[in-house]
Amino acid sequence: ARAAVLLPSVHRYAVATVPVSGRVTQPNGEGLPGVTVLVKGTTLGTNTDADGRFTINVPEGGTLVFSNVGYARQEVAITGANPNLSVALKEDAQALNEIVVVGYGTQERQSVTGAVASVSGRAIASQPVADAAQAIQGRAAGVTVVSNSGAPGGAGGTSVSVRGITSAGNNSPLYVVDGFPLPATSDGTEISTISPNDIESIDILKDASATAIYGLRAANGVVIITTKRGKAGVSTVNLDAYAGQQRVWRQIPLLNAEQFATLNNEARVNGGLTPIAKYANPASLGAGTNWLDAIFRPATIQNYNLSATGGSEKARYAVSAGFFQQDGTIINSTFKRFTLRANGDVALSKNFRIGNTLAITHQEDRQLNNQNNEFSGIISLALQAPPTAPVYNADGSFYEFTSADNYGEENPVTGALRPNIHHNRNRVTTTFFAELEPLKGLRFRTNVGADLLFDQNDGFFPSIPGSSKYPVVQSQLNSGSNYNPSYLIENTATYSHLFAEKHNLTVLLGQSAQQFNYSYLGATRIGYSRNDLQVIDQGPINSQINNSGGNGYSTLLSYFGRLNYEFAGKYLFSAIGRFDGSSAFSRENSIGFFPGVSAGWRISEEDFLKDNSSISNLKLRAGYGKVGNPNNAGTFQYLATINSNNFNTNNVPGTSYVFGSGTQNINTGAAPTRLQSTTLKWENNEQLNVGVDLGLFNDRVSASLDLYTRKSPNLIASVPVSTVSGTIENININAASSVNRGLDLAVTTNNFVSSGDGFVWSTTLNFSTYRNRLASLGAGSPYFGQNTRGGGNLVRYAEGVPFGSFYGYVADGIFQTADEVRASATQVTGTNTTNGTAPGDIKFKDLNGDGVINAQDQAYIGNPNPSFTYGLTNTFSFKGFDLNIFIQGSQGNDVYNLNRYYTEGGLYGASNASTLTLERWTGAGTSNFVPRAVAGDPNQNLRISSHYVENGSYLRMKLLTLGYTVPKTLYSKLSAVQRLRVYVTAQNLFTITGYKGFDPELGNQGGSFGVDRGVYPQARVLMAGLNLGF
Amino acid sequence: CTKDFLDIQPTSTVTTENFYKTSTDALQATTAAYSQLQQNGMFNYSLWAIGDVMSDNSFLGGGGAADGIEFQQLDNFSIPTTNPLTTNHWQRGYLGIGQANQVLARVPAIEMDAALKNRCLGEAEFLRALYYFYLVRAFGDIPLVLTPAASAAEAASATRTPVAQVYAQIIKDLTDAITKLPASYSGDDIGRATKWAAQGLLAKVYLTQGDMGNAATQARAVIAGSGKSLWPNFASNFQVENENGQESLFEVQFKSGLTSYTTDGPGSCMNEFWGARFFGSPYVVASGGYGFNVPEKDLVSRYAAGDTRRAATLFAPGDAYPDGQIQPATLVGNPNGYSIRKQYVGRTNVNNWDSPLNFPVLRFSEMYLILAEAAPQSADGIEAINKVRRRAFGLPINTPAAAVDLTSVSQTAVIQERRLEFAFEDDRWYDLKRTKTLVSALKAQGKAVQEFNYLLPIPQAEINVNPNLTQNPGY
Repeated sequence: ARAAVLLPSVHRYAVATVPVSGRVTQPNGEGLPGVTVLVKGTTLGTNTDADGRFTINVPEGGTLVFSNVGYARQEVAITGANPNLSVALKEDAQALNEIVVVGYGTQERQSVTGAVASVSGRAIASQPVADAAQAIQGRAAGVTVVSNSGAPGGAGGTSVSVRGITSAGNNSPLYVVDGFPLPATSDGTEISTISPNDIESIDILKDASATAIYGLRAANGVVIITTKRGKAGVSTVNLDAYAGQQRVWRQIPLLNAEQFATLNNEARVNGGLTPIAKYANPASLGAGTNWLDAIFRPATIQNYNLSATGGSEKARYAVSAGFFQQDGTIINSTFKRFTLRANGDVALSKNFRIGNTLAITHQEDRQLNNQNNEFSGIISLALQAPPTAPVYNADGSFYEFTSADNYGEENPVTGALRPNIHHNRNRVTTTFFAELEPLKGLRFRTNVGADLLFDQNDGFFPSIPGSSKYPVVQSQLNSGSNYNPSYLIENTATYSHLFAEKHNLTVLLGQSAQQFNYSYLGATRIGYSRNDLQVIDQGPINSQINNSGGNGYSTLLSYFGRLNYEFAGKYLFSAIGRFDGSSAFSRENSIGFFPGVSAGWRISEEDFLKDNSSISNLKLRAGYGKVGNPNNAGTFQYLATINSNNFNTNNVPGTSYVFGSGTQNINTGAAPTRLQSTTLKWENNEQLNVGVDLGLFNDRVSASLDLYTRKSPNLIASVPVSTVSGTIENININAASSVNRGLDLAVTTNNFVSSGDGFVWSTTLNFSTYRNRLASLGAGSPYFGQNTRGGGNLVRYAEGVPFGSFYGYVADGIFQTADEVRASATQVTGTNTTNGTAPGDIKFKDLNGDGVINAQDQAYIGNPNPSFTYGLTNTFSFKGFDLNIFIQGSQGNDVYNLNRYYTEGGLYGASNASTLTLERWTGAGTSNFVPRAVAGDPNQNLRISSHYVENGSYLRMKLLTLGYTVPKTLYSKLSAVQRLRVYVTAQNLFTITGYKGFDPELGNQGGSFGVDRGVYPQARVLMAGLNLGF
Repeated sequence: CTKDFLDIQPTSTVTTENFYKTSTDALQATTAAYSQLQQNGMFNYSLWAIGDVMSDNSFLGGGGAADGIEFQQLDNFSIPTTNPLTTNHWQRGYLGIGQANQVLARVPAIEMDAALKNRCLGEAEFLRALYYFYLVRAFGDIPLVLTPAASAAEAASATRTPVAQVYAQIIKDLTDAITKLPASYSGDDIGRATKWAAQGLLAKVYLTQGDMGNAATQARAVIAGSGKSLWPNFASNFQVENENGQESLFEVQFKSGLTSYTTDGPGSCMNEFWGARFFGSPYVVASGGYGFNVPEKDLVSRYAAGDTRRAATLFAPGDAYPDGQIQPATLVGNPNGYSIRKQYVGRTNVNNWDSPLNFPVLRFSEMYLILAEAAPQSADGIEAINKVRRRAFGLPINTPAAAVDLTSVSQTAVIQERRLEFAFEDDRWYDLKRTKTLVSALKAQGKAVQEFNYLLPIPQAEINVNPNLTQNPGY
């Protein structure tokens, strides 16, 4: 199949043409379909077919330009007819896209003046990830991506932050999919319903001069996702499939039964208690149960995607169907996703075309109870459960802890297997557009869209016959649904014209209106007499019935414009302005103006460099902009709303009370429990960006360096108010300002290039660093964040320290002798070794020297912001083999290992502990790190302190892929098959880190940054896959 | 169009601007002022830690280590300024005060039935006084706030008002409330504050201040006028079927079956948290019991032979639960094997931590003991304590009984009687405090109590947002 395309254009003069045919190949020698082949300086062109072949007539002496997304553009001078032209395109992650999507339009990479990083769809699809956002990790300088949880299907969300965190709340970028700005979520699952296989490219607008086109929502960067569309004349059918196995790459070693019993006895004796009878003879207990082994398992992951693209100049299509399935590495958790997509374009006439995108996703997520809950999640249960108990009783029923165990939590395996929890999500995201081009260069476009998000959550907690812990009266079903639709209408006009051959001007004007609705309905019934009918209707009608529901909506109305001016291809200028009005704020504060300006100088186009043989590209860029972030402000915060919740809801006390006789009645109360915040505005971000793009030796080496300053002058904090006010809820105020200064560097080198299927090696390095500092606190006094298990706050926001800094006591080794205890500051008020400080306890530093350890002796004990992060990709190809090695890491960040509250808690209580406690202090000189075992922890060794702060640096072999493109000669009889590639991939193959927890890669766990709360860990994935083209 | 598109009001809530218009609004606002009583920082969770665990009545048993660490801190008088129980007590107390202030500020302007309006205002005054009475005793000088705050900045600039001024306001509010509140309620209004609740509380306020004359006057008025009387059987006070009964002046209302695993009501969590720790098969309380409030041996030993209050107050080793299970000699965290019976309702509750049993704030017997303490030389004072004692020993209340009757009354004797009568009614710490015996009594138990422990620490969270709040000495 081939197609020569003559785009509507008129040649000024005719010359003789010669026929040229040939084949365009990828670095691995495989044919590259869909490459645009253009005669330079004309609009005469064609595309390559599924095997990379093309035929075109070229004016003699002309030049052919070969370009494709993800590859470096290549020009070939045509001196005469050539029936066998071989062109090998090089992958080019740096100057990845010839075309960069910048919001309401595209630009050529060479004309871009802002800081924009791009990731190709190929890089996205090559990774076994549930959430496409995870695949950006390490691929774009300045973009930090961490999975919040290893739960299957990316259910915990993915934290994406562009150029560091600046805000104590939502730092997520705005996601725009095919022109539709998706509603913000707090859990980082904005794009988790999109099949990674459907993505053509991801462009990330980083600096404010670029993001300003999205104004109010652009402060944390804009991630623009473009899905695949059909190309004229190229029909392809592709099957992409992989399957593999996941395992937790590291487990925390826990004490066995004998070691645990020994520890427990020692702790109780030291704490003045008698040992537990069951543990009287530790040696007889043996290894016992390893609860982590009992809950973790090897789990499968698989993905199948079938797509077809094609069409003519009149009508083009891209349709795909995908199935992704991932079992959790913890028993009884599994995830399935079905995706359908249909993108189409139809030219109704020469200057009028319409098109659509339609994506339908259905997800079934079987979750664990409290899946990401640090207190009662399965992992924290497994870390705590005494190994002296079996998983099952002799009769096969679940073992239940009793007073004989001196332990009352749930059996972790019961906790995982008993509940039946389903979270189903259906999402339809669709846009329709019409584009009219009444005269050349002028385009009117209308885009309407809807994003319909339906969630159905059901959790059934059955009774267990004969169990005292799970009786019928407590069997329960919670059922709830959410419907969050968002609607969009946008109209834009774009005029683009080259004046006097030197002045290239593009002007965009537009309007946008978007509405975000939500509604929810929930119900609970308790006391199910049977476990097989798990629906609300089958539950008893008793006093336990509970239901809830509500709705609301907000709106955003915007006007925007952009002007791009380019003089002689050398001097570039861009200006953006956007007015956004948001219903979330008071009338006085509802409308904002967000400008962005930038300029560029392509020095390499100047005469003095144009013919330089070593410098092929040199561009300086500078930009400034001011954008906003409304996500942390909430809605209607300028009003004091009446709280008439009957019961405590989201930690806000209810206002009801009971009166009457007999069974009494609940009486609804009403009172404001939060003060209004009348002056509240969105957060702002003012960003200055200076960058340089460099290409050396005909772009064998290309690099892009950006330096930036991000000022956030009015960050919102949810600050506590004095309860003397008679209200108890925090209020949102513009309390703080912070400054991020940083550097993004991306370097791509084509170390070896060759034509055909010779050896090719290219390297891409992304390097990012930033320094964050809280410049001032408008709120006046430092405030705290992030509650911990032991009570108290872990994070303190104060002037001059980085955002998210840990705050607590400073541990200064272990007291070795009683004399040392006496000579030191008083740690606690206890008077003897069972109720006070004793040798073996942690010595906390008396920072203010007053002889007493109290709240005044707390300090900043850790900074979760890394010194730098990096991603390094090496790709090799030779004779049909391709090898991709992707290393990614973070250096210099602290982690607060809150998990050790449990894994060292066994020193003080009834729960198990990690093998670290085998090195506990048992006498002078035995340990200067692990405290003594003493029931009750009289010295409060578990208090928030530097004892639990660890270096979170790591280097990870994120992805290792070895592929082989099977030569067509081996399957020549299968004429339908155009190409066949098989590959094996290892994800998270190894990690080099000094960190002691499950995983140093910590996303947003319970609203934390750099705090290990022991949620679902990441897995190591080994898998095999194939790409089949028809 | 632009304006309309952006001009949106909340669809699921009302605001202070459009509320407070009808009598229903007034009633709901008043209900909210009660709501904190049954929640975490007051009677449902914090006050037993302050009133009993922090006294010589009980200790935190629990599972050891950091289990119930916030109670351990009070139990051991190693109280950080961040202790959640003391913090919640302050914060929820002020939340209740704020809700009462809303009633007193907004309800007067509502067009509604005058009697009902008067009652709402009286209830709010009573509740404001009650919250302040607890806070001023716990924290000493505290900000005296009588109107809803207009802004966070206003609240953050409040300073501590001297104790005497706070008491003056409490007395004013109660005096006012006595004139506005009805003597009793019926039907769905049972459980609201009555005139006698206000007057009884006023008696206790005067007693706490050492104003014995006024204390006696108020107690006599309640004894004479309220129509209340002692249950013949002491244990009748702590039974669900006797709630708001003949001996009740004011009690916190609890209702089970609506929530689970919460310390914020409307169920009481005391059945669960005080229950024998993980004892019984099936457990004697719904989800195992936590044993977080364990009677001291010293208290148990003070009950004389024949005092029926001992059995009504606690389970001792060998005592039978209603289902026949026998209290063992020891329990986890509880070497002496005593568990509290007063708030025990067993497994009748379906939801976890959820008991329907009301909690007594003021019982009529306290009026007798206030009178005895305030007027120890008077005949009716001596007779008052003897009525309480006769009932305790199962004797006819009004018939002199030489075996148990006192012939003269000392404050020590009354305090001792109060300890036995009101054990685990969250009252002991306040008695030790006002009689200046806290340190001596607890030192005798080996607790590291110090003079400054007569006051609780001002919560650090509050000082953080209002630097004007100076910390109490010692913390």
